Amino acid sequence: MTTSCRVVKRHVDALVDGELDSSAQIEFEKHLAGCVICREHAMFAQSMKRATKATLGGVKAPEHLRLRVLTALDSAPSRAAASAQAPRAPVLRAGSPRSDSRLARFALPAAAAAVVALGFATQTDDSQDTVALQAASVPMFEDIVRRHEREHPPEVQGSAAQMATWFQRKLEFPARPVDFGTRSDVQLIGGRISNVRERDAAAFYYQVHGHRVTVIVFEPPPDTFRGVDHVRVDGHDLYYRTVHGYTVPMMQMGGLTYAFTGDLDRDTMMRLAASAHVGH
Amino acid sequence: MALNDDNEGPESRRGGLEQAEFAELALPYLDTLYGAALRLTRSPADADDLVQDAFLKAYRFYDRFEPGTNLRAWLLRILTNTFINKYRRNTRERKVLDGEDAEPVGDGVMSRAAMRALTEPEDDAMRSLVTQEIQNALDELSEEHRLMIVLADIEELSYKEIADIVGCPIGTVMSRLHRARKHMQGRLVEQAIEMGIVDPGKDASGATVSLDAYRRAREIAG
Repeated sequence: MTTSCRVVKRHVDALVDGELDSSAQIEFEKHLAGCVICREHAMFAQSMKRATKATLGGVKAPEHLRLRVLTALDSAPSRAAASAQAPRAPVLRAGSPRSDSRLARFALPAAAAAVVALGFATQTDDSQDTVALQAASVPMFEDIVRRHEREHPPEVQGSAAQMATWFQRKLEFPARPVDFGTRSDVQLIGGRISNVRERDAAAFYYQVHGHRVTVIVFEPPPDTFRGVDHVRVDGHDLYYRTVHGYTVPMMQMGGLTYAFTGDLDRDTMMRLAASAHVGH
Repeated sequence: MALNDDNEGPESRRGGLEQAEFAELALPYLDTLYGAALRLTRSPADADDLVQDAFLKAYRFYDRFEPGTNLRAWLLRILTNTFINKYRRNTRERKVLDGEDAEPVGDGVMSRAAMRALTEPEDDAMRSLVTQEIQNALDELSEEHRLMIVLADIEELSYKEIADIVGCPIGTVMSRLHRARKHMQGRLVEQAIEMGIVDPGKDASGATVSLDAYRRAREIAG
């Protein structure tokens, strides 16, 4: 019995999916060699399959999702705990840099080596103190994020030097826009008087690849960084916290604190903050 | 007192799996799961939620994964089930589309000219049409059919693996996949004709002609 066009047509999917058994495969190939219509049909089906994969495949997950999944996993009940039926929670991971850095490798491929501890949910007995300490800085970070989210218009625009002069008459400390060195993708848009909690501050607005970034400069209250996660990136000490989905890195320069908030992923924000300095 | 992995007894290591260990095994498939989730939900925000839920579920049920089998397929199965249970918006729509009437009009009736023009197109206009319309056509498929295209064409899983994921016989996978592809192809051809890239009157009969008719014509001629 020879394979008919009808049979080939009906099983053209199995043909292009490589799901025919070997004898059917041989039969089909024999038929296709002699039948231009079936051949065209099979080539069309093959081409569609290839085009579908080429068009729709190769999607990359956004960077924030990686971190989100890791964070969710980290606060999930441990399977090690569940299966061992241990009388006490065996997963005391708070102070364990080993497991944290393993997670960190996935979270921040670019800055992996720099990240020592990511401060995921803590479960130790002494975690209460840590939590309380960390909580102390939360209102400050929340306030900083709020300043960014409100998208206030700039009060002053111009060169960095012109802005510094403008702030000189209004603030007790020298507020100067940060300079991102050789990065040509960062553009200074303007500045305005702002506050962080009860403190005066200067807000500088930047555009980075079309995304808004707000840099807030203020005199740090005592113990600003106590209990705040710390990381060294490109030789710079960064303190950071994630608030409302924003990872806000902060750094100290010349006795002032600079906080960076932007509509960019965590990794980009970290590297952006690490590249900042203040000119004289 | 701090207790780390090394202090745990062997019994806790056997069945248990630390989050970090699981992450190391499963996170390499983050892009795969996100891609599938994005195609299924058609929304980046829903895709994020779906992927997170799927990873959490996979971690919880990891002891059901058979070592040595395809972890990617297993994760896709969890993602699919999570989607079906939680994110499916309109069950009725799906049932209607999957019924008898779902058979696409264009099945088996496609002009050779259209088929030829759309096979590995060299022409830029045709190529961009194909790319654009594949995207649109997939979004318009029912969820069941979309799932088939995602698993068979994008993830290139075997019929057996797809049958396991969807929980149906291989024959059902084949007929669903066939209909899903016909819908996509039909849409593509329609669009090509509408844009004047493919001339529907190019064939001898002046209209789209069934392949069987062509075959008969050839046999008579030969």
